[in-house]
Amino acid sequence: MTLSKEKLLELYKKMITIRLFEEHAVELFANGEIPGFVHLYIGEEATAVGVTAILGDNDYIASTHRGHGHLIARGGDVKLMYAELLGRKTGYCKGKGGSMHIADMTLGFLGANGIVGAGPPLAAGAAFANKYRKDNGVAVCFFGDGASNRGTLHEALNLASIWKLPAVFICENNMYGISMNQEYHQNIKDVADRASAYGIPGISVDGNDLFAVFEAAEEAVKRARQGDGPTLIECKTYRWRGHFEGDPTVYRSEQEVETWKKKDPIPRVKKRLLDLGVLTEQEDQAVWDEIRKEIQAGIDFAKSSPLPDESELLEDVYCD
Amino acid sequence: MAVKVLMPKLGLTMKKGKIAKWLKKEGEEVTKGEDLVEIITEKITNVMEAPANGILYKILAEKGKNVPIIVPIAVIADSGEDEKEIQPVVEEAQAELVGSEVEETKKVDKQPVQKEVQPVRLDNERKISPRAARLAEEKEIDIDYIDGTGPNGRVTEKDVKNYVEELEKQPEEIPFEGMRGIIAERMSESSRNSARVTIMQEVDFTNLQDLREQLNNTFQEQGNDKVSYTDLLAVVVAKALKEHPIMNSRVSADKIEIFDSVNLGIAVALDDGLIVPVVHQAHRMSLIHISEKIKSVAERARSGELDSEELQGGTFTITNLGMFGAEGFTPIINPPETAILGIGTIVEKPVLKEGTLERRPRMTLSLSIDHRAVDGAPAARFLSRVRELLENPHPLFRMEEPNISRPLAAGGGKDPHKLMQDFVGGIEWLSEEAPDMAVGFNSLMAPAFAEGELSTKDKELIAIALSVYIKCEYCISHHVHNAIAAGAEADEVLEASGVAIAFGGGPAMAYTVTLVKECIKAFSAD
Amino acid sequence: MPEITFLEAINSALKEEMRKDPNVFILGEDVGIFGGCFGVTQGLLDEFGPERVLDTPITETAIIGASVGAAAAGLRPVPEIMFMDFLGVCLDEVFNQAAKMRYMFGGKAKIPMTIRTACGAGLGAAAQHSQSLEAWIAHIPGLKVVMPSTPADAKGLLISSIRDDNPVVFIEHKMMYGISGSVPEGEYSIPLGKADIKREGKDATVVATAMMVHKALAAAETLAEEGIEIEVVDPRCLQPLDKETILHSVEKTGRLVVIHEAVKIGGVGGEIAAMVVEEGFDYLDAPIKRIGAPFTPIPFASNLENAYLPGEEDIVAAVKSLV
Repeated sequence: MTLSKEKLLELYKKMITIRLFEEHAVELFANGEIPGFVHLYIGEEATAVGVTAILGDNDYIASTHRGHGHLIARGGDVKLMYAELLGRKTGYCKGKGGSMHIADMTLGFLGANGIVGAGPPLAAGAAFANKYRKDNGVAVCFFGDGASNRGTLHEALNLASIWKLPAVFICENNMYGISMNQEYHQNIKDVADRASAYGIPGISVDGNDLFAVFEAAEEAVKRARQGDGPTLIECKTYRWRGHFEGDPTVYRSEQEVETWKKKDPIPRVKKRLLDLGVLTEQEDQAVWDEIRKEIQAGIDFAKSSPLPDESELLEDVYCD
Repeated sequence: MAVKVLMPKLGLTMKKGKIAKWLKKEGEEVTKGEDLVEIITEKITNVMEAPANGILYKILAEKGKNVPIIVPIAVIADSGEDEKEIQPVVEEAQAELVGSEVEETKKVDKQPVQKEVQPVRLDNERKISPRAARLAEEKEIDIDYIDGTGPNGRVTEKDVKNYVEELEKQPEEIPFEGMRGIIAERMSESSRNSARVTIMQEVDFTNLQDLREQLNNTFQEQGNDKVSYTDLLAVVVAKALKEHPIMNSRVSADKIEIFDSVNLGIAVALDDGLIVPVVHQAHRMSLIHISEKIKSVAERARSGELDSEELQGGTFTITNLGMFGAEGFTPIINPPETAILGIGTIVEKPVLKEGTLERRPRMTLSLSIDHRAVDGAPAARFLSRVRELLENPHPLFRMEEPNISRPLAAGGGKDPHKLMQDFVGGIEWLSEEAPDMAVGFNSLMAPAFAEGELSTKDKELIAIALSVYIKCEYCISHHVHNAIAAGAEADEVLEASGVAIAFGGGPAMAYTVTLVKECIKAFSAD
Repeated sequence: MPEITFLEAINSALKEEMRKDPNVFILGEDVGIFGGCFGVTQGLLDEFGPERVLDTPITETAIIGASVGAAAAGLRPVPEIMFMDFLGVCLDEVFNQAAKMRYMFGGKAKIPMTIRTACGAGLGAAAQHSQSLEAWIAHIPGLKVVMPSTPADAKGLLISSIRDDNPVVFIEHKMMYGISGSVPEGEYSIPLGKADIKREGKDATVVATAMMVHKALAAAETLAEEGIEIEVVDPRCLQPLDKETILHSVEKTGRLVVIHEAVKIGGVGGEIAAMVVEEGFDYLDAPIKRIGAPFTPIPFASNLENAYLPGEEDIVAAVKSLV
């Protein structure tokens, strides 16, 4: 399946939304309005958007600590996201989760996760549920190159492979596990190589290329829905910001960052849209302006929202 | 003039009050009758009024303090009064308050009567469980009075409960009915109507002890039961009563009835009272007969099987508290009889017997008489006769009289022979252990006591005087022995001691009348 | 009521709930054709098929992680961790994922899963197959901890656990699998968080869990011969803990001994003792005694293992030291 022009424009807008959401998060964090940690997705937009483009209603996503992009791509509400980032009662998690724990069960979004590598077994379980219910759903798991060293991934890949679970494992290889370059943290160049250990397909793609990501995901999801089991897709990409806001990034060079900024995934999609005649420069400006407004509205909503009432502290620990 | 403000006594039972709140500050002016301080007692909060006009100069007892009544809690001074005049009053008040606290602590230290003998607690640290502490607080109980029976002596809830129960326990009631009622009625009747006098006399039981032993040996051989002192006393008393008929009588409001027959009441203690069965015609009974009769009535009294006539017709009663260790007491006369004889316990006592201290079993007889019927002199004569019979009972019971002497060791318990032996033995020991010393001593002694211008006897007499003067028991015994051996008479020894007394006074006298006397006796006999 | 074993009671609860709710499935190591390491899941594969009775590789992390994912996705998994000791392997999935999802997500997720696992020493299984680690779990908000002591309790509580929409760790003392007891026939459940008084008494309260309930009941017999009547309270659930029943009992008796097989230091007994001190201080007529295993790994040799395990004599001695 090729992407329709309308679909492509929609994905482009999502990438811009992610970009602007995160850029404003930088400001909010710098202004001290976001407590705790915040891990930004700038530079990796094509991966989240490319993968989620293929997903439907019964599908699940297990996200990571760097999860804003995944949720926006999946259709998350930036108002609720900002409210959560600011710890407001109106946020996705009523201010109890924050950036690292945003979830939207209505979107099958099983949550960002503060534990690196926690997602793969959860995704395997969700995929099992799809299979158990025979609802044709799949579960997608995002994880980083850092998490690819964790046993959780391997146990999940193994289980998914033997049970032929409808799962897709997306490694967002942004080259760093916090400060440690992939070159040092594993003895392989392509995380996708690890698929062979589980007898499943493994493929490496340019994570900054929306089309490449989409194509790979499309194939993997098709396999999954057909009952052929899981696929491991490695999307090579780069985070423009540090591991978290405030990270001095002493472990990498300016030059490296600049090189990757030249590979910005957004202009690449824009170029295609311009080429296809779907978009003019003027319209592009309007798209950005429109999304800026949306983002601003989200921030305004969050800022005007109340903090959670202290009486809520003890709520939601257990289901009644 | 400065006055002390005292903790008022606000109720009949109030012992202490707690300062709830001072309504005036130090330095504030007070008017007599004005509210001054709130006091909490066990029951309520009271406001105490200022006892004088002036200035509340000094608060001695701060809020929360418990102060015994009539103890200073503050001082009020006249406005403008000289501080030099106030200060002594303050100090005195302060001292009184502190003193009351010391008193209080002493009170706290005092322990209530305990059921079991427990070691005296030396500190005030109490372990108490929270549960017990809460209960104690609720019940307003001072836990210092509670003995902890929990592990490590911890006061537990049970201990507090037991204590509370003890506090709240109503006294056990025994109504004056049945036997108790009769006893109460008769005893108060006796006490109300009789003019009771009690005469006591100590009796030497030496011979009676011997007699009883002899009798019992004989009875045992004959297969009879042993006799008790009560049995012996019954016989003796019956005999004495026959000799002193006025004692064998009954009194009523308008007359005295004197009886020929001795109907002897024997008081028998029961678990819940006292009963006096009567041994009729006691004066006609042999010892064995009376013994059997007393045993029989006592047994039947305990099992409640006495006939009613066995409780009637008594003319004299014997009551024995000796088995409980009582010596003398003042028995209440069993009406309408004229007298009652109380028997005490036998106690070993030192007794001067013909100038000699002897160990003797002694017993006190307590004779209560109704002075309306009998006067003191005849009663005393009767008692004397009883004593006489008890002290020389052998003829009465046709037994052979022994000559019993139980001398206590004289001279404060020191035996002259023993002293001699100890000394001589010591010298022998020294001869072995340190021969030089013994030889040296002997070579000093031998020439000193050898016949010379003065005879050995004279020298020994001098030695006696010196020995007594320096209060050396061994020397005294040794030299009295030697003097007598050298031919000295008792008089000479005493004269030598007299010289010591002249120099040494009381102590020398004490040795002379004790040890010297004993030595003369002991060594003269040898 | 029929007499069945602790093991049969659990098996029966699993079967009944699987028959009743198609969302219930079980997974774990050797739970299928093998019937479970201790035989608890015997017959389930035959009745429910491999779609609902899943043998997993030796992969605790995936077992629990996948269970959490499946539960979040709407199923009702009943994973088995063969030995409680193995919880260490998948602890993140238990206490960071299962326990916290609901709260982290602002109450918008529920994780209805019941982890069954076997605890307890007495089998000579040594340090890594014998532990009682309930205190770890009870320390984590979001988890419920159930620790039954009788077949009837095991069945009723397991049914409640499976029906509960929260993650529950259901701890089965392996030495109790063979213990028999009357179990009501048919469907019944026992609410989580309700303690049971296993024996009434007036002189001291003994709070005991799992195997120690049986030791406490034996001690009660011994003590009764000396005129000391202990009340044996089995909390049955450690989270939520039925404080009320424990406090009422201590209010009645004034004395408390807490015993568990787990290591005494940091054990649940300390929590119970502290709770009673905080909320029932004035009820106490003596200090609280805790009994637990010594602070050492569980030894292998039988005599050492016996020496390690708390028992009847410890309870008797502890109670006597208080009354």
